[in-house]
Amino acid sequence: MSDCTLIREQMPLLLTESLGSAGREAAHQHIEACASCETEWSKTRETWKLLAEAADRPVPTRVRARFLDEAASMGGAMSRRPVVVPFTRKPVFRRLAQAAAIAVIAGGAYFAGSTRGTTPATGTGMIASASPAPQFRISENARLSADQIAPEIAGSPAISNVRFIDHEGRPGEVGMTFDLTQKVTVTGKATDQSLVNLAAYVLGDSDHPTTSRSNAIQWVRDTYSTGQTADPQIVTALSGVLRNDAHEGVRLKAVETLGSLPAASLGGAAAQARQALIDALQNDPNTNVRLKAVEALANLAAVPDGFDPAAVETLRKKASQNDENPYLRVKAAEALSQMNL
Amino acid sequence: MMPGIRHAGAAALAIAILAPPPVGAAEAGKLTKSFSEKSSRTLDVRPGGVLWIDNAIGSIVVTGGGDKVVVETTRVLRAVDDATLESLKKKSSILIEGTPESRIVKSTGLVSSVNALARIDYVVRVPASTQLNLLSGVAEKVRVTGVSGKLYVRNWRGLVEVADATGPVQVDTVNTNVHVSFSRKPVSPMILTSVNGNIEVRVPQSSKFEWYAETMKGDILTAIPVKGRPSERPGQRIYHASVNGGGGSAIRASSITGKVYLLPMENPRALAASVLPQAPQSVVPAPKAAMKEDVGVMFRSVVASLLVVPPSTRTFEVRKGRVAGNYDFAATLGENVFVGEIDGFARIVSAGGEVVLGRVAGDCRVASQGGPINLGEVGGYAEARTVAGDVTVGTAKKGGRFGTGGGSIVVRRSLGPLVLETSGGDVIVGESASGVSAETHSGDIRVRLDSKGTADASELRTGRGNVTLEIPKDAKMTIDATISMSAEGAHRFESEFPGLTVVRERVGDGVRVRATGTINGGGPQLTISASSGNIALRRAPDKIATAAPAQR
Repeated sequence: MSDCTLIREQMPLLLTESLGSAGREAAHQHIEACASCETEWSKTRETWKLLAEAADRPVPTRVRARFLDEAASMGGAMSRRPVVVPFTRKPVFRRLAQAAAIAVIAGGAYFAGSTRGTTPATGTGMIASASPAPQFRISENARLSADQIAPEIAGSPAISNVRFIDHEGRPGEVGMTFDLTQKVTVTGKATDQSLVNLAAYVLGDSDHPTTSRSNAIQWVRDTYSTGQTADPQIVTALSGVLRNDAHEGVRLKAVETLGSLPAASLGGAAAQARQALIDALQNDPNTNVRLKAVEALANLAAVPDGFDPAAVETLRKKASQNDENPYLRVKAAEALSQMNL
Repeated sequence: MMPGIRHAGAAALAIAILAPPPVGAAEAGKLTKSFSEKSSRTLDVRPGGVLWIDNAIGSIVVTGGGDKVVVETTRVLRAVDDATLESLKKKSSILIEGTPESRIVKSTGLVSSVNALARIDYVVRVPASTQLNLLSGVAEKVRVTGVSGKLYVRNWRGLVEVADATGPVQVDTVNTNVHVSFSRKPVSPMILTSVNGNIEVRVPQSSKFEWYAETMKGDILTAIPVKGRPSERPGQRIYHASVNGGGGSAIRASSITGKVYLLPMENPRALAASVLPQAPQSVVPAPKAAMKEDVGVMFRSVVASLLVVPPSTRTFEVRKGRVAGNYDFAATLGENVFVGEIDGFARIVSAGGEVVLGRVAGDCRVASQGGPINLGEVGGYAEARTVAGDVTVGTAKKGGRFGTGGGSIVVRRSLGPLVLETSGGDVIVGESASGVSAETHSGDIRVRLDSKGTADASELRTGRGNVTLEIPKDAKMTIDATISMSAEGAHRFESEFPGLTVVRERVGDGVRVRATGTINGGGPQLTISASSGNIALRRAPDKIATAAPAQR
C-alpha cells in the first residue's frame, strides 16, 4: 500500500480526530508535501462540511425496517463487531454505515441482554444498562452513550420514529434517536421521590395521555391520602388537572382527591390546593365539581391555621349567589358554619 | 308558645349568653404574655369623603358626629412566650394610606392562633356625612351609629349593629347576626345579607317601606302587621310586603340558614310570627295514605333557634320510617329526605338536598335540583335525576333511568333495562339482567351483564375513560367497539373472547381502533365507544348470580 493510499484511507479518521497524535502528525506532513493528497484532503473536508450543513433526512421506511429486522436477527455476533463507523464521502453510504452502527448497538444489546438476565421480571422490552448500579432516568429525551448500554435487547420493544443523527460536533460519533415503548415497572415506597415525581408527571401529562388520567388520580388518592404520604408535588399535579382538564369526570376525581388529602400534612402546598379549589368553585362549569370544591375547602379549613380569608370570601359569595345551584349554596353556608372563623 | 312564634326579646338574652367569646379567648389561658397599647390620631378626610377601615381581627365602633375623623386604637397582643410577643409587636401595625377623598386605615400583621393573638380594636368618630367601608374579619362587634353617608360593612364573625343610619346601608356577613335599628323612619335603601346568622331590623311601627326578605333554610318573621306576598324559587323562600302601604325606601334582608326578623322599635318584647305559609314546623308532606310510623319532621328546638350559633342544615330534614301507601312530596325548602320504606309509589321533587329511600314497592321518581340520591330497592320502574351529585341504587327490579349533571351512577343490581347518563363521573352496574345504555362525558364505565342481560342490546359510551364489560362466557353477541385516541398505542382493546377483528386507522390527528365481530355465533348488538381509554371485554364469573357486584 502506497503512502498516498494509506493517507487517503486515514482521512476520515483525521477528520474525526480519531488518529493518534503521531499518526495525525505524519498524515499532515504527507498532505502538505503531496499535491494530489492535498487536493483530496481539501475535497474531503469540503464534503464533510457540506454534509454537516445538510438537513437530516429520515431514512426511508423500508430501509429502516430492514435494518431493524436485521438488528433483531443478528444476535450476538454483532456485539463483537467494532463500533467504529468508517467515513465515506458518499452520503448514502455514510447513512448506511450509521444505521449499521446502530444495528451493531441494538443487536449487541439484544445478545448481551439474553445472556445476562438483567431484565426486570415485569418488563417485556427493555434496554438495560450494563453499569453496575445504573440509574435509569425517565425523561423526554434520554441520551445514552452506546458504551453504557448493555448490548442486549430483551423481549420485543416497539421502536418507532427512528431517526439517525450526525456527530453533533463530535467527529466519529453517530447516533440514533427513537421512541421506545416499553413496559417499566417502578416499585418502592409511596414516599420515594421517584414515585412521587412519576405520579405527578402522569397526572400532568396532558400531551401524552397514555394512561387514563382518572385511573391515575384514583391511584394517587388511594396512595397519598394518608398523613404519612401526602406530597406537595401531588397537590401541584392535581391542581393542574383540576384547572386544565377538559373533562368533568377527571376534574371531579381531581377535586375529590384534593379534598381527601390530609390537610394537616400538606404544609405550604395547602395554599396551592386551596387556590385551585377556589378557582374551581368560582369558574368550573360543572355543578358537582363546584360542590366537591366546597367540601374540599371545608376540609382544608378544618385544620389548625387552615383558615384562609380568600376561601371564606369565595364561599360567602357562593352562598349568596342567587343564580347558583341551591344545594350548593346551602353546602357553602354549611361549610362556613363549620369553619372556625 | 304557639308554633311559628318567636319571642324576639329572648333572642337578646340568648345572644348575651351564647355570643361568640372574645377573639382568642379560647386560647387565652395559654397566652400568658400580653401587651396592650392605645393610640389616637386625627385623619384628614374631606367632608363627604370615604373612610376605609380594614381590620381582620378586632372590633370596630364608629359614631357619627363632629367635624373631624378621629381614630382611637387599642392594640392587644398575647403570646405564649416573650419571643412570640416581641414578634407580634414588630409585625402588627396600622397603615394609613390614601387621600382626603378616600382615606384607608388598614391593620396588618394580625393573627389568631394557639400560640399568638394580635388584634386591634377601633373606636372612630367621623363627621356624619362620611362614607364608610368597614372590612372586618373576626370581631366581637362592629357597631355604627348616627351616620348619614353610605355605609358598607363586611364581617365574618361577631355581631354587626347599625343604629340610626340615614344613608344607604349594605351589610354582608357570614356567621354573624345583623341588628339594624331606627329610632326614626328609615329613609334610605338597605341590603342586609348573612350566610348563617339572623337578621333583625327594628323600625318605628308606623314606618313605610318595601320589605323584601329571603331565606333558604331559615324563616321570615315579623311582629309588625304586614300584608305581603310569599313566593318561592327552588330551595328559596321569598317574602315581599309593602309595610304601612309601602313606598319610600326598600329594605332587603337575606339569610341562607338564619332567620329574618322585622320588629317594632317601640316594643322590644314583641312576639314575631312567621309570615311564610309553611313555617318549618309545618313542613310536613301530605301523603296520599296514612303513615304507620311517622318519625316526623325534625327541626331544631325553639330554644336552639334563638341562639346565635349557626343552625345546622343537617337537622333540616324530613325523616320517616315507613309510609303505608304512596309518597308524593315536594321538598321545596331543600330539605334532606330520608324514608325507610314506602309501600306504594314514590314521587319526590327536591329543591336541593339529599334523598334517601330505603325501599319503594312501586314506581319511584325522584328529581332533585342538587344533592345525592340513594335508592335501596325499587320494586317498580325507577327514575332519578339530580343536577349534581351521585346516584346510587341498590336494586332496580324493573330497571330504570338514572342521570346526574355531575357525579357517579352506581346500580348494584337491575332486573330491567337501564338508561344511565352522567355529565361527568363513573357509571357502574354490578349486575344487570337486561340491556344497559350508559353514557358519561368523562369517566369509566363498568358493567356486568348476566345471561339475560346479554339477550338485549347494550350501548356503553364514554367521552373519556375506560369501559369494562363482563359477560358470561357463552354469551352470544355482536360486537362493535371503538376506541378513539390521540396517539398509536395510547390505549388498547382487550377481549377474552376470540373471533373479533381489530382494525386500526388514522383519523385526523388521532388513531381509531375498532373491534367488530361476533362471539359465540353472534346475537344482540353490543356497542362500545371510548375516547382516550381502554375497552376490556371480559368473561364474567360462572356463578354470576352470587358474585359480588363490581366495586367502585
